[in-house]
Amino acid sequence: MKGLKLGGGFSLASVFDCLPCYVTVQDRDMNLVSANRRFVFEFGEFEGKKCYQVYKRKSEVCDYCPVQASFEDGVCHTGECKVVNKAGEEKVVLIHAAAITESGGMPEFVVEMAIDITKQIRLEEELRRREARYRLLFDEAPCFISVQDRGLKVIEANRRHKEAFGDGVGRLCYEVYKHRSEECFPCAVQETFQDKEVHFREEVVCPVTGETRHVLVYSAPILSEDGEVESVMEISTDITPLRELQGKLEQIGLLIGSVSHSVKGLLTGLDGGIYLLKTGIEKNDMQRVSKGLQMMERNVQRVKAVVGDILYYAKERELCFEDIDACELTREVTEAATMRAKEFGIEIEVRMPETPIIMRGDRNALRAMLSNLVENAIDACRVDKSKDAHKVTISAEAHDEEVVFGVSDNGIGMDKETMEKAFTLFFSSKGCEGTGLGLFIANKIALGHKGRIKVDSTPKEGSRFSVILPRRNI
Amino acid sequence: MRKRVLVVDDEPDVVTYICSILEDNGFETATAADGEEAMKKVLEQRPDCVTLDISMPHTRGKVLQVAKRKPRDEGHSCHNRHRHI
Repeated sequence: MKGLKLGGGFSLASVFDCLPCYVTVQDRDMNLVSANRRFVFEFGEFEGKKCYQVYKRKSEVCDYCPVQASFEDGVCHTGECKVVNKAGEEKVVLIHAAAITESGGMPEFVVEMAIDITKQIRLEEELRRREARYRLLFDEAPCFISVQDRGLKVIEANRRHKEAFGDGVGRLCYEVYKHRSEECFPCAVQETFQDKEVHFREEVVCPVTGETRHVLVYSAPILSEDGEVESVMEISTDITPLRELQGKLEQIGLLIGSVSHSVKGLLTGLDGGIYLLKTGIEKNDMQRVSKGLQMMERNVQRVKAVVGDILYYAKERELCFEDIDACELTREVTEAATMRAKEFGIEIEVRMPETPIIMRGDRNALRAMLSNLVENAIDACRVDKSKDAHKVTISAEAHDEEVVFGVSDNGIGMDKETMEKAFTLFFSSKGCEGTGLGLFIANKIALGHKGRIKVDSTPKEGSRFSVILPRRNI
Repeated sequence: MRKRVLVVDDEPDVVTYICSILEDNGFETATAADGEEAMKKVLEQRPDCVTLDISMPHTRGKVLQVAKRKPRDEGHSCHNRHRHI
């Protein structure tokens, strides 16, 4: 940088020395012909050396060289490259190369200014790394996160949100979450926009899979520098498993209540039987003794049935399929029910072919199913005071592919509402006497056999339950 | 005169049990299996006491209303006669 003089007595070399960058002058063969003090301080002596030998401590020419580019076309070129100082530390520099030409001829020299941007690059990298990390946390958080503007438009969403609801960015929140065309009310996000507070509520949302999910929604404000709510972050946690568990606990609670009522009634019956037995013996009244014994037997049978139902409900019992005779099963159930029916003066009729109907099924499960239907029919007759005679008809019919068990009665019948709820768990039209388990279990067993139960009923006339089961396709 | 108790329950074993105890203790009994029948018997037989299954389906509320109602053509309160409802 010697010999170059500026006005006022300053030499250009002293100016270059003061610059906060490395300045070199190179000839066409990349020989360093001049360099400022900062360069020498950082990279060492340069005389007789080529640019890349000093800047990069290597012996080959760089792939891209702004200096060479400037030599070729005479204009300024820039580039970013990594260099190594004399201490062996790697640095990143931003290069500006400008050709020095005299009287418009080919450039003889190129001046290269390299600004150390190592710190900025490190900061940029750190920033990028942190951004990626926060993005990862945002995406992988085990909840659905979206950011919404004042118009409830989703402006950002995490990966789980996109997986569950599709790409909702740019769409309205209520369209994305609930497939609604109108805004929800109340809305936690709107409340946060209004009062800058965190709000939460439970919602039911519809992911793209079509299954509805229960979510706990938290809305939090994202404030601008002037303290205004710029957008709102909505974080929804899927609490469906929790709600399902709650549902099961409620069912257990209902079961306990329902069974307690039922057992209490049956215990009263047993109590009555014991009373009649005891007083019958005291009074030497054998008719009373016999009545008491019958009451006890009957109630013990019913306790057994209730306990059986509870076990069917409580245990996810695997059905055990074997070849069974539907007629034999019908006979067994009929025999068991005859005693109870007789007490109430109810006639039992059985209709089935003489030849066996062989089918695949779980004997015990099907027996419980039919018993429940027959018990139900007897109860329907027992409480019906509008007729003098009652009859329960139990039938088994064979078809090519199906077996149809029928249980019909001329009891009280059911209205539409009762009919619709008949197979609902814990629904009982019998007051404290019914557990609400019987028909639910019967239906469950039919479904377990890939069959169905059809109900026809007319209030005050009677009901018919038809169980249609496939004979072999299990 | 023996006091009359109307036993209302849709479960025959319970009716048998309660009636046996009451009869063994000198009461006269009448029975009804549902609310409708109970209303009819309350008006017809004017029991001194009614035992009513609280979980019985249909017309429970109506039975209580009828049992407590003061008959129009009588001077005394029916409610007094049904003091054990």
